[in-house]
Amino acid sequence: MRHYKQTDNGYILGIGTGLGGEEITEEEYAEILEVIRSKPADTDGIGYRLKTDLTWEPYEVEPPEEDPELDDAEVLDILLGVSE
Amino acid sequence: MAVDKLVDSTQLDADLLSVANAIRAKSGGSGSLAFPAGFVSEIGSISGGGGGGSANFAYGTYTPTARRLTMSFDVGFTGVTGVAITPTSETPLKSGGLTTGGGVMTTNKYYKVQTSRSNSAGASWNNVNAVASTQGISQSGTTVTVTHTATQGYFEAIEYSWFAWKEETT
Repeated sequence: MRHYKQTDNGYILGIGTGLGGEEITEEEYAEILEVIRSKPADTDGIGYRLKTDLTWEPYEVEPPEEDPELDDAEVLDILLGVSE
Repeated sequence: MAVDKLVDSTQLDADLLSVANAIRAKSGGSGSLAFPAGFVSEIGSISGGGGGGSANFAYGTYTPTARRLTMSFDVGFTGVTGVAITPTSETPLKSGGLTTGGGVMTTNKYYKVQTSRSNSAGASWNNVNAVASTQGISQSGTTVTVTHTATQGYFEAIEYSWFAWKEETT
């Protein structure tokens, strides 16, 4: 079975079996998997990405875009089909 | 909002059966194969098997290091018409667990199998794929990228099994 790691600019995006990526040994695969399983828990606004030296680097996570909140008047306009 | 299509379960069953039959033909086995773990195990029993595939069929696993909405893998051939992805540890063939959708390869069909892990009770899937008509699966060269449009995405430390194939046209 072929093992590989997928890297990008100094970070490991994932590991897998099959084609693609950079081939690694089964031992290295197991080592990386162990590190992935011990990933620090993300906290509010802080995520962690795995560097190729198998250390976790914290980074600021951009909050997901939220749908704009509508006030009552805007909701009523939509319900009544009123356009500006 | 994405609009899903209902899966043609008869067609899906037939296609999965054809893949299972092809695997059994190579392995010499005759027992039933539970998707995906049974497929993976059976392929692994084939001499030379265990990651890779043929000109029209490829398989592998992928474990992301962080939660993300896309997953890319090399299938080794172009013209992919179908992809199935599921956590290796889970069976996707639960009621309501399958959807299919359009995407780049709208002239062909593909199946996206549940890609989120089940809830803590294991009672149901968190989410079936909501595949926007312009999202889903794309292929560049031999690399296939599957976009998970649900907010959960692909989870870190979860091993996903993927299968990709190209249907022959007659």
